Amino acid sequence: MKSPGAASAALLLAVLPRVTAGQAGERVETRSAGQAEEEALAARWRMPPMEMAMPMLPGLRDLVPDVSPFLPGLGADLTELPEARPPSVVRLTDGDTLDLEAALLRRTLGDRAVKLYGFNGEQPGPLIRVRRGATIVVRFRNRIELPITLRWHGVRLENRYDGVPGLTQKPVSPGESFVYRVRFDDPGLFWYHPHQHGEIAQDLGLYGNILVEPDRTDYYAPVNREAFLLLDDLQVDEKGLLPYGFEAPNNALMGRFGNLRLVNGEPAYSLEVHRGEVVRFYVTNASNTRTFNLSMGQAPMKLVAADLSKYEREVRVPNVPVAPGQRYVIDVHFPTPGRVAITSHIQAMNHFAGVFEPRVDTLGAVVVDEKAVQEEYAEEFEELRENEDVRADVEGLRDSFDRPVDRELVLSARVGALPTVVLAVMAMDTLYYPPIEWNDAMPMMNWLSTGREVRWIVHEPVAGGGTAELRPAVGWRFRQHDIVKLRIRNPARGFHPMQHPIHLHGQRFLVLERDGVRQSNFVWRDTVLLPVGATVDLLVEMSNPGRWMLNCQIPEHLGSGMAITFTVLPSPAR
Amino acid sequence: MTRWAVSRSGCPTRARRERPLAAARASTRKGSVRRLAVAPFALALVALAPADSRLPSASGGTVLSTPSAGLWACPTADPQRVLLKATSSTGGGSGYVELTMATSPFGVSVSPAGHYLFDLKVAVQQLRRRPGLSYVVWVATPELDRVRKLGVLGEGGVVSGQVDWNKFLVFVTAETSTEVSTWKGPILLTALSPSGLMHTMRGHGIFEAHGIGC
Repeated sequence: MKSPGAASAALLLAVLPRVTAGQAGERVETRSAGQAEEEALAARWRMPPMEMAMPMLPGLRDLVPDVSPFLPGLGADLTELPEARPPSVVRLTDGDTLDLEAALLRRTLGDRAVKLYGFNGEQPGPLIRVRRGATIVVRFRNRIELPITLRWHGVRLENRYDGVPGLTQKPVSPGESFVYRVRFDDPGLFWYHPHQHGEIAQDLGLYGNILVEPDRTDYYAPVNREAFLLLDDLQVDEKGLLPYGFEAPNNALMGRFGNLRLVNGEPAYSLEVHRGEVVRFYVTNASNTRTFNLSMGQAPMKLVAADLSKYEREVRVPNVPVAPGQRYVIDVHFPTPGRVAITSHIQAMNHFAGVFEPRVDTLGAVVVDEKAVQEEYAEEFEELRENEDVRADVEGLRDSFDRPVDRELVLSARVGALPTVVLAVMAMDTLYYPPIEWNDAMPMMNWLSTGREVRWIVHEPVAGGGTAELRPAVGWRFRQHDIVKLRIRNPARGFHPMQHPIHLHGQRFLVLERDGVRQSNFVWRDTVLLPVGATVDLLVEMSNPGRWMLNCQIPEHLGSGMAITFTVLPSPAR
Repeated sequence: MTRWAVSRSGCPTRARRERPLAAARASTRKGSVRRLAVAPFALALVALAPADSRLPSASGGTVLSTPSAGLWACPTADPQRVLLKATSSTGGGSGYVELTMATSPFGVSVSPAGHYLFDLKVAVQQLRRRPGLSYVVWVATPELDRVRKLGVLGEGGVVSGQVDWNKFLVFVTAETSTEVSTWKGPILLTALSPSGLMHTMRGHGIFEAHGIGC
């Protein structure tokens, strides 16, 4: 008989399965010998382009990641692949069926074309619009080389359709299909993406938005226009895409940062509006690891909603920091004609020089023309709504605000056989870690690290320090309708602490406290950002029975073990 | 000599000791090397280490630990608290600066320019106060090109405020008036934000072994 610990470890291994090189999928040999040679050269490991003037340390020069390099569509003729189309809008009602097929596409980015993935020939995938309370059927067919599953991020759906391989379903192998039934209980902005091989398949464009429309027409304030911003980045150089780790993810320390910023798959997003328009932006961070700090010049912004609900009260904000997996709904007013740049402005960290360096990434622009908008919503925009419906929804949990902490988790990294050079250099920066790694501040070391050497662990506190070998928290069981206060700590001490966007499947929660400070404007969430050194207390409403996962949304961290599973046992209906 | 192979599946297999590409080499520029705060030590250390050397692992190769910490590292600084140190011009005083990320509807409190927003609590004790003098707390960038008055120390010895710089100094001066808007008097106590440690020798644990310490 297996011990609970062993069983859990086995389960986690099953949850994070990876294919072997021999299973890499069918490859169609349609190219010439010259093309094959060129492709083979492009598929060799090569250093990522470094965004900062950093030296390549001599001891690292001869090393490559300890996994095989992978590029999509090896053997397929790029010119014969269909060019990716922008996402269509698919309106579905209760009981409707959507066929969703993941396949290889060609994407032209400026003056170069690369092989990426998309759904139904589109990248990002179709925007699904449904009404709250609807259940739809999605017939998913996998036509890429990797076994994957689909996740319905943030949706409190039936457990068996949650898309976690080894926990709720088997991976969908190349050529195979799986039917999902997705129920939408919460109004808001959601997204779908692969879970297994997310660091490759999601990064290559397999993602799309879902907008669940509320029951009431006055749920949000009126606006002139809606726009969707799916933020991403892609790592490319003059040869094209840089390879991905195959048997295990590389970039295991920090996740894969791209050097080309994308909005809706495009390097130069543009939106044309009339003077005076109020635009509702639905923002999703679909990147692997990059946290964006979004702003739109001097255009006034209003924060309306996040993840699973509106905020208790709307607030004016000058910028929107958004971590991977998180979603925000923001209203923006454009009273003046002109061009408004959509930017992500960060203070990039240069570990080697010991300085912060300002960097502005222009993601796109809103072009405001001279023509006045027909219907003015400036007055409604100025009003900061108090959302009594959200407040009433939160009220049911208020009695639990001061309950003791029920469960506690600590986030840690452990490393094995990383090159001594990497360990030595990292050991030199031991006194300060920034709350957020906005940029890849150590690209060569990050690129070299793989899930074979780095283990990210979600564990319960260890009495008397952290010298014992850490194992993921196991055996967590709750009852449906339990309210659980969960404390998560991301200690600043340890080997390479980093921020983690922690995602809880199948449930919703409130961020009750941050670093011991009680929050005052609640919103229902499924993904919480933990900067380095942060502690959060979450109040989780265990509303949805099943076997669920809590994981870091950075797929390279997930692929390096950063997940636990827990069970919510069904209770009689109340 | 580069070793390379393509497996039967068409997926290239890994090869160790691959030569670096031109793009990677090109990133080693004189300018950046000059800016290295720790370059001599780093390069010496790296030169001593065999390129493919690895720390010993368990028989199964799966022991996961924090091998570097015990070898070279100073204890990591407390990101939430730094100590105020008395300057030589003062007859005493001590204290601390407590940093808390400012409240925000997001997971991190950051300005449009990307600077963190911290709530600061500056607490001072055992300061030998002289009649007629006020004790003012200031925050400044490390270059001192921007200096802001955080507040005046009252009887309780505590001043609170907010700062939106990633790296900053906190210092206490003795002034002839509480109304001063620019710092004029002698500096009695100083502190540097935790981020300041990354650019000094104290920020790099290896120097501890050379008597510089944490």
